[in-house]
This record gives sequence, C-alpha cells and structure tokens, in this order.
Amino acid sequence: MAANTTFQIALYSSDLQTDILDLSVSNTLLSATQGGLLRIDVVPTALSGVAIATVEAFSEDSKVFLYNASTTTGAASIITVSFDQGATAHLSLKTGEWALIPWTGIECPVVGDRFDIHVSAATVDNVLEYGVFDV
Amino acid sequence: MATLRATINVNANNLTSQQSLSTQIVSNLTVTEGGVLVDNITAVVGAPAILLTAANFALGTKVYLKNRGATHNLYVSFEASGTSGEGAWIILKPGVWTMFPWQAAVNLRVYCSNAAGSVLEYGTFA
Repeated sequence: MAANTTFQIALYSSDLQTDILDLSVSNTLLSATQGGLLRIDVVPTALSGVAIATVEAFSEDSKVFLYNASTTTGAASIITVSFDQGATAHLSLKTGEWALIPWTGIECPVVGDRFDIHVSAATVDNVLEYGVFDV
Repeated sequence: MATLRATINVNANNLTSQQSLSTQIVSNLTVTEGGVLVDNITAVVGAPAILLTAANFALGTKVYLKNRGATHNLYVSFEASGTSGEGAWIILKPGVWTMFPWQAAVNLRVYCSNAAGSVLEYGTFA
C-alpha cells in the first residue's frame, strides 16, 4: 500500500554559539511503496563484503535511514558505510548515531557510477538498524 | 564544551502491516565546533566545488546539508570515488536535507544540476 513517509530533523543548541541554534526541517516521501526497518548483525569483514541495498532496486527518490543500534561502545562498535561497494569508507556510525541519506540510487548523473551500499564493522556484536524507503 | 541535540523522526502509516511505523532518536552530542551557513552553489557536473576538505575534519564529524533552492537539484559526492568523471551518491532535491557522521577520508564535493545554481545550507559539528 502506498503511504506517505516523513523524515524530520531538529537541531538545537543553546550554548554552541552566541545565538541559539534551533532548526527543524521535515521532508515527505509521497506514496512510498517500499520501506520498513530491519536490524542486522554486521559481521566483521572487508567493507566490500556486505551489501544492504542494491542500486537496481531503488530510484533517485529513495531515502536510506541508518542507525547503529549496538550496545557496546568505543572504536570497536563503529559501523562503516560505503556508497561505492567498499572502495571507500564514507560514513562512520558510532553506537547510537544515525544518518539519513537521500540516495541517488540508479539515477546517478554519471553513467558507470552505480554502486550498492555496503557496510562493515570492526568486531562482532554490532547491530545496524536500517531502512530504504522508496516510491 | 557545548551540547547539540539532534533529533530524527521517521514516520510512515500503512506502509507495512505494522500500520504505524514511528521511530525517534534523540542524540545529545558534545561539541566544541559547529554552525550553519549558506552558500550559492553554481558548480556543475565535471567541475564540482570542494565543500569540505577532509584534512580539516575529524572522523565522525556530523554533517548537515539542505538544498534551500526551489528549482535545481544539488548532488553531493565523495572525491575520488567516481569511476568515470564525477559520481554522486547523495541527491538533494529542493527542500531536501541529509545528516550523517562523516568518515572524513576524502573531500566532500558538491555540484548543481544547473549553472544557475542553488542555495546550499550546510553545517558541521564536532
């Protein structure tokens, strides 16, 4: 069933600058037909090892939500994310950290630069919660 | 030291049989640097502008981006990641935002779908 999905961010700090930082932005993905949340154990392997989203399955309207739901902390709990199938590490999620990416998916503007999203962790017992929402 | 409260809400009704998907994560981050700026991005594909130089940022720096323009798309790429010219993995249509903890391994670059440009709102927090 198509459903509207909203993604809202709010950033607030009263003591970072002389003025208060307070912003809120909401985006709506109209008539989403793909999505949901899934938790996986991220195995310690090369960054090229585990694909969580294949580019052929999604459009340029897709949004990728990532959350490190591990219970351990420290460097060993970091989950690394690559948008070029493991060639380069792009995101670094410590325990409790999240990301929302409007992913270009298959509509990358340069032909040939179509890559799946891959993840890896340094050790066992690291948990990634993620979802790819698309129309 | 300062505190940045970063909150994300993801909500979807009737997307799955679960009927109401609603998740909220509130992160209270200890930061010493950061802020939000705007810039008009007129660079186009093939000649992207360097937005953030990796050497100036630590691993895990939080990056916030939003396309404040009303017409053209902005594309965000990670330098040296493209295999045939300039690739991109993040697309910011008008009004769209993203936030992520950046690996800061390679520079973050940005370009617009049209030379007329679009206004990028961006911030880093570390």
